[in-house]
Amino acid sequence: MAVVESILRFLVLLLSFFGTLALAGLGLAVIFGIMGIINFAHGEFIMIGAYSTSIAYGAGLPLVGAIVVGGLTTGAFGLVVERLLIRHMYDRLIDTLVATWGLSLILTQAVQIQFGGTFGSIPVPFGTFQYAGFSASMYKIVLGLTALGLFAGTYAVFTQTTYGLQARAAMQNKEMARSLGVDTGRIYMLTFAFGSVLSGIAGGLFAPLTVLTPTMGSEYIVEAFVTVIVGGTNVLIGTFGAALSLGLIQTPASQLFGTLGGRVALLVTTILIIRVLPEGISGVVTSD
Amino acid sequence: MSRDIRNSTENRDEDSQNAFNRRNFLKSVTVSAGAVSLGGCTGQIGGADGEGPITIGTLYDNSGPLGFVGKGKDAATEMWLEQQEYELLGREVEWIDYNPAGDNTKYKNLTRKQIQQDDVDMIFGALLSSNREALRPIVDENQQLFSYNDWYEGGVCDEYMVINTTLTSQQRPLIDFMVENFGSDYYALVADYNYGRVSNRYARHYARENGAEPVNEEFIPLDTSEFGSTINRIREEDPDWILSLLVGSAQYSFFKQAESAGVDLPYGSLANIAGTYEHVSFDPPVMADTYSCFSYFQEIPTETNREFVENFQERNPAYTKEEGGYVFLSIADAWNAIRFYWNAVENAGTVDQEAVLAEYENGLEMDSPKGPVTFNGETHHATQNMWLAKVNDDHSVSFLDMDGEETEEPIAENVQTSEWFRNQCNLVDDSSWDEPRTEYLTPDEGDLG
Repeated sequence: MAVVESILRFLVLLLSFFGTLALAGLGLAVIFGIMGIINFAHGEFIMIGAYSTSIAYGAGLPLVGAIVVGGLTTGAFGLVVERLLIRHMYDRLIDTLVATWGLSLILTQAVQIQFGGTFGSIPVPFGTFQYAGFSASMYKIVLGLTALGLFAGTYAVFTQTTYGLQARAAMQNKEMARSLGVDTGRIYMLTFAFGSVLSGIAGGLFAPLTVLTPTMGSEYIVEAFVTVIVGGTNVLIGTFGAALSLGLIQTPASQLFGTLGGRVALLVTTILIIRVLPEGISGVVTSD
Repeated sequence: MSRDIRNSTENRDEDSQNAFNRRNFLKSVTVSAGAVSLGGCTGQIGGADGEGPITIGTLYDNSGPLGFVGKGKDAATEMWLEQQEYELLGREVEWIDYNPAGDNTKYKNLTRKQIQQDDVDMIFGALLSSNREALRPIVDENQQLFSYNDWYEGGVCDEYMVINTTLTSQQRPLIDFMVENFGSDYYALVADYNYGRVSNRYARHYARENGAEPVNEEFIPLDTSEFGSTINRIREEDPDWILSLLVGSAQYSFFKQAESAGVDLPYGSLANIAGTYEHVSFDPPVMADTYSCFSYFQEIPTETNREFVENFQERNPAYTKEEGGYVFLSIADAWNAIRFYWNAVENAGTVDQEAVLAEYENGLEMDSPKGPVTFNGETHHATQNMWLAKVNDDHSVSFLDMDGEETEEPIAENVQTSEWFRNQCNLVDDSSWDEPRTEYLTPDEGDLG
């Protein structure tokens, strides 16, 4: 019995770490992988997703519907940001870094002024998963599975739709794609919006587990960047592989050495991986 | 401390409604007085000893993560000043209210400005220990009387600082109560910074005196909001109760996640409920079975407190339950701070700072929403009653005695600073206005025993 319990404990924790890393990183990875833009306001996009989810939930929508609203709101917001800010800075990595960092400060303060220090809390749904002496939050299991679902969805978008085909073309060779008639500007716009939707959904999914504050984005930004750095430019395999391998490190480390130990292990692993694999896990996948 | 659990949009609304009140008028006047002076200027604008108005300054965050705390403290200050019709010793009182916005550099600059440019007679301010430590050298250098009144780990032994709030050592009854009623194995969750670590040291010491021992102490980074492994470890250790020194909105996620993971242990908290009112912010039963010990809770069942809460909420509807607010510890402490000052000045018959401090050191006494409080001259800290609050299943609050029976009395009366601190710090004997002690003492492992 005790063995089964230990295995369950490990699996549920792994699923929960994997879910957090993957959800936090996916939106950032899509934007970085395809557009080569590092969105420093990524944490605030997650925050916007969480806030709009909470507003929709407060207005009476079921949680799933509210999360969809959160994703779409963040997507619409991303679209506006892309049109007003990002599109003027294509291929200017450092400039976008500074611009989006500024954006993140503005967003945090604007939300602080508009909504104050904290915001309506959403109760954790689905209750408790119980097996013998082991119990865990069912929602965390759902969170990990939803992350898998989002990967599948993103995979479908990139392989099954015209947008996905063109996006991959633009990513591999922008000039060639353009000369073949792909409107890369439009692709980038859609990509930024799509990445924003993913971040918004992540925010909505995190909302019940956390306390909503204007600075909540900073709780996920480390996870997001670590996942993307370790993953490299390959949006799907890289991010998935990074979230899984980092989760596999963080789970036993935090079990043995506590939350702080888990965090340290996460960052040390990241340093080691980018030392050995400068292009991250994507480098392994694409080199052979 | 960091307690960004709650703010409310209402605070703003209420602010804009009072857009033309006296304080804002004064603020606009003083703000337009110009940029921060870079030192040297000690002009007698406010008239410290003259017959002009008495000037008091406040430095409470009105924005930033702790903006809601500072706004509450300003609201308490304003309520008192209006009740006194801005008059003390027959002289007009001018209130100079700045917003340091949680920024230590601003804290320093605004402290300098209040001392050197506004020439204030008294300053009330700082929320976090880090704010206070940033400005304390300036206060000391300029021999400025300063009231710090937000809960902290204790340890300031400074001639120019007068302090009234709950110290970790004063919360000892919580540890005694938890060990007595739930058992000797506890699991400590500690915010990993100075306040958390020092407070945990006190907690462990008091637990050991009761024959109790932590089964584990987990130091948790402040921005942690994922508690899966912590919850697993708690389950493995199977403690009798959990000691919470969790601080900041990210860490409050623990309570939600523990609830949904089916953790059903009592929480003994040195850091929650009184100051950050999680029992109002979270839906029941997330905080049910939390025990918290502080000098003040909005629910304290005395006539003085009911009246105080009623008055305060009537003036500031953002702090009512309907608006998701709460009259929290920091508000009551700001209220007591300015009243202590009033008493000291009235006794001294002047605002001369040395004379006023002498009155503080004589031991001021007054009744307050917390119950009777006295000022201890040797330590410059307040002696006060401690209440043990229990959060019930519906998130209402009951007060308990040591046996766990409901009561309308505090669990401990006239609680002073820790014995260790009293042995270290005697500002009456070892310090004077011109030869001051200005220290910040932290007990090391073993010092307490």
